[in-house]
This record gives sequence, structure tokens and C-alpha cells, in this order.
Amino acid sequence: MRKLWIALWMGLFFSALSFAQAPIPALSNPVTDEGGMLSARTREYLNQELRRLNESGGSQVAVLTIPTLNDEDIAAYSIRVAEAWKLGSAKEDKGVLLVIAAKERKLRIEVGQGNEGNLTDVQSKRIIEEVITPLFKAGDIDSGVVSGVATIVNATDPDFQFRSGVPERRAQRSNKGSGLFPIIFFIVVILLMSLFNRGGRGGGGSGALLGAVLGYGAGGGFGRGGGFGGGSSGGGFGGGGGGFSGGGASGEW
Amino acid sequence: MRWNRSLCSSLMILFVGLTLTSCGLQSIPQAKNNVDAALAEVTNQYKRRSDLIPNLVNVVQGYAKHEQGTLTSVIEARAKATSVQVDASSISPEKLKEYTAAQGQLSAALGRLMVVSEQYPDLKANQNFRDLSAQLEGTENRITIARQRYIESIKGFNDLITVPPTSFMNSLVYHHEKMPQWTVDESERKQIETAPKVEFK
Repeated sequence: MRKLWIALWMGLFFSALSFAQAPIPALSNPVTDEGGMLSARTREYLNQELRRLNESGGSQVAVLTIPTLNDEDIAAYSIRVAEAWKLGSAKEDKGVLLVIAAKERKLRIEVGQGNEGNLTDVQSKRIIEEVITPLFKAGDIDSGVVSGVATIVNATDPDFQFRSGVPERRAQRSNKGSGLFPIIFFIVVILLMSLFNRGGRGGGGSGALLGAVLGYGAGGGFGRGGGFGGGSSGGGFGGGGGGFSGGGASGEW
Repeated sequence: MRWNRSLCSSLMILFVGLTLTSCGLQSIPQAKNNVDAALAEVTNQYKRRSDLIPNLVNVVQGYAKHEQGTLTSVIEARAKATSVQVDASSISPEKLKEYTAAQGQLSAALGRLMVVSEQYPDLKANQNFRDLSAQLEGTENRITIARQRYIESIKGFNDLITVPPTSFMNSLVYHHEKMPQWTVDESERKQIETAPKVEFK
């Protein structure tokens, strides 16, 4: 009898161990900042724009930051989240997930099956290495995420125009490095335009991108960029049943 | 006439009853199709990897001329892996084992190639090589996921045909046998353990 108890406790212990993976948060907004890495302004802006992108029939793009991966591989964690959230519609599978792990300093772009042609593994890798991580390394997580998302959307939905405008009353400028903001954005814009317009799909795409980056920059810089969409706390942002099969790329900073 | 109608309706009731009580009439063939599709996805991703290799070998060759041995072993492993084909319709456990072993050898050879290429800074800086590495990394990730899903689909199928009540329907109608689970076999395990870890930087 005693042995049985010990065995039971051991079983419980080990099952608890195996479940000590990083949890999958519920999906209610495009941006889920469990890792507390983003400013309120970035969250507002991306929530508003990504929601609008999804509602206009485009891709369903989500950003997730987590404090730690608990020793799990980021690709394994990211596919678990993608399978749980099912971003994109079941018909078109146009979902994209950007996962960022704070402690491990790792990130991954997970691409839904319907976007694998527009956003290849190579493009994802380049977005990580040439757009996001340079900004992350400079300590500017917000700009890295916004530029990364803008580049992703530029690949998946080239016709989508990012609006300028974080609702002003909610805008909170991050204090650190705010003087550097416009300069970094300028560099990023030049970089992106040279990168993605090369063999490109016409000029429309980079225009949208320019709009996103300038719009975001202006929203904070002049404080009067607002005026669009009062609040982003509209309806739900549930996944539509989109499938993922491991496309995308990982990186670290 | 009346007899006819009552027969019709009782058949209908029987049919609806059978489909509604999750007895396996539908779910067993569906699960079988899932397994076939999952296997097709696995072979598809392996094929994709195999297609990347000639370009990769070409690029590495240009920078790392002294690594002919490693390159040759990759080419040979690829040739061997592509010669073993599996087909979802006529799959046998032995054939699948042979297939996995050949792909495992290719994984090991590729792993060595990527480790060797770490020693050539010019190669690592080459944009073409970086793109191919990203593609290879992505494909390896897809292979992992496809294999995982294949294993899950076999489990789902085996559950249906061995666990009541759906197992009754199987012995009554379909007579499927339990599928062998796809495990990493001994030779492949050894290769995975001895192969140097692939790090994509």
C-alpha cells in the first residue's frame, strides 16, 4: 500500500514536471504582452492596426511576448501556440505569429500555411536578422516589433496601408531613447525599401510600409496623429481555424 | 407500398443511428485518411529537403574546397535517401524503417556539413548560403512537426480500431489491423546521438 502511494506521488511529481512548459495565454487581442516588453503605445497601435487588417479580410497577425520559455525550444513553443490559437481562417490559413521570449532573448516568426508563399522561411529569417534584431540589440524593443510587424504585413498583405494614429489620450511615450526614435525609423525605412523592393512587387508595398513606420513615429512625435478609431477594445480576436505546419524562422539577439 | 415506406424509414433510422452514435462507421476511414495525409506530408518535407541539397553543396564547394569528404558523404546520403520511396497506399513497416534510416543518415551527413561550414567565415557571410541555411532550418522544423503529426495520427487511428465501441465496427466492417507506431529506430537513434548538433547562426 505504501509503495502504491509512493508510486502515485512520484507519478504526480513527474507529470507536474512535464507540464512545467511555458503556458499558452488566451488569445483576445493581436498583441499579448505576457513578457511585459512593450510600451502601452506600441500595444495600442498594433492592436488597432492588426485588428483592422484582420477585419478587412487580410491576414490574422498576432504578437506574443513571454517572460521565459522554460528550456523549451522556441520553435516547439511557437507551434504549440499556433496550434492553440489557430490564427487565420480555416479556408485561407493566413495567420502569422511573432513570438518573443524575454529571458532567452529569442524570437520566432511562425507562418501559417496560406502565407508560406508570400512570407518564405528566407524572408522571415531576413526580417528577423536585418529588421528586428538590430533594433532589439540597440535596446529598442518597441521599434523592433513595430518595424518587424510592418515588414511582415508588407509581405503578406502588400495592399494594406498602416494608418498613423495612436489614440492621443492613450499615448504614452517611452522616455528612454525617444530622441533616437526618428533616426532609427529613418534608417529602418531606407533598409526595408532597399531590401524588399529589389525583386519586388511594385512600389505600393513600400508605400504602405513607409506609412506604417512614419505613422507610428508621427503618432508619438507630434502627438496629434490621432483621430482614427477611438478605441481598439472592440469585438473578440479569436482564431479562425488556420493551420500551421512549421514555416517561418527563428533567431536571437 | 406501406411496407416499402416502413422499410425505408427503418433503414434511415438505422443509418442515422449508426452515424450519430460515433460508432466508427465514419471516423475509422477518416482516421485512415488522416494517417495517409500525415505520411504524405512527411515525405513531402523530406523531398523538399532533398531538393535543397544540390544548391547547398554547390555553394559550400565554392568556399570549402578542402571538405570534399564531407560533401561527398552528403551527396551519397542524398542519393541513397531519394532511392527509397514510400507510398501511403502500400506502406509496410520494413519499408518505412528503411526510409527513416536513409533519411536519418542524410540528417547526420548534413549536420556534419553545417558544422564544417562554421569554420569558413566567408561562406557564412555569403548571402546565398545564409538563405539556403534558413531554408534548411525551416525544412528541418517542418519535418519535425510533420513526423509528430504522423505519430499522432497513427495513435488516433489505433485508438479507434482497438478501443470500444468503435473497435466493434472495425471488426464488423473494416477489418483494419493496428498500425505499427513510427518510432526512431536503433540505427537512427545512434546517428542522432553521435551526430554533431546543428547550430544555425
